[in-house]
Amino acid sequence: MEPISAKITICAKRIKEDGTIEDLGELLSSHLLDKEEQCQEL
Amino acid sequence: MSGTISSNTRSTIVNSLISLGSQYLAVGVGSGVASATDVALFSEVQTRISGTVAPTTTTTSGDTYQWVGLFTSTATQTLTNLGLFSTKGSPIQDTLSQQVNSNSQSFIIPISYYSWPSSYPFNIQVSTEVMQVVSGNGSTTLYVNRGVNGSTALSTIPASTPITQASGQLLAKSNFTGLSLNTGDQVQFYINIQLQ
Repeated sequence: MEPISAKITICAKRIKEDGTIEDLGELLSSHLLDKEEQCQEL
Repeated sequence: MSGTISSNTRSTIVNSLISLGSQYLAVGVGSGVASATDVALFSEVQTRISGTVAPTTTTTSGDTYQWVGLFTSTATQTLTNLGLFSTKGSPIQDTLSQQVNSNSQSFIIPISYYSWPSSYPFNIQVSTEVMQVVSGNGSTTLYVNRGVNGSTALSTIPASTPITQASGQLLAKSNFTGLSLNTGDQVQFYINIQLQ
């Protein structure tokens, strides 16, 4: 039986001094979804 | 066999989480693996920050609670864990002056006894264990109940281990590979909690 659960995903983007944004990607995921897709949606 | 939460129920639970109100991001620089029984971070730093919360969709409609906020680093540091708390106030933090020698030892000796509240009880995180402080001797020693909140009482806890007061309800906590930041760096955090 599949467990009933919640998954936490943390994505981060660094904002540089010149205003440009660096995508740091995922810091953590329980790997149940496509991680790159998850971050790109943000 | 297979079981699942229906999509409607996922959305209902997410909305219930949102109805809890504001959540504040806390970040930490200590080591450790996050556990469901935890009540505090590993070596929390800086002040907690506000963010926005909203339902979003990962797999089914409204199945995800999302917190978004902007963090500005006030030091050169490596973040290792974070959590969402119900209150903005920073916790009292200290370290053990003496090792804890057994899982039934009912007292701890902190470095800075007088930094701790004199009204009881309150909970503290010491490594992976949560203790309930029930009294103090007025100068050096805090008396504790061991292994509360479902945590496991540790047989030994070294001196210098951080002690962190529970400050607000902890909604979620995660540890991760270190995120190295310089003073002034700004990071937009996106924290998603998806019901499955």
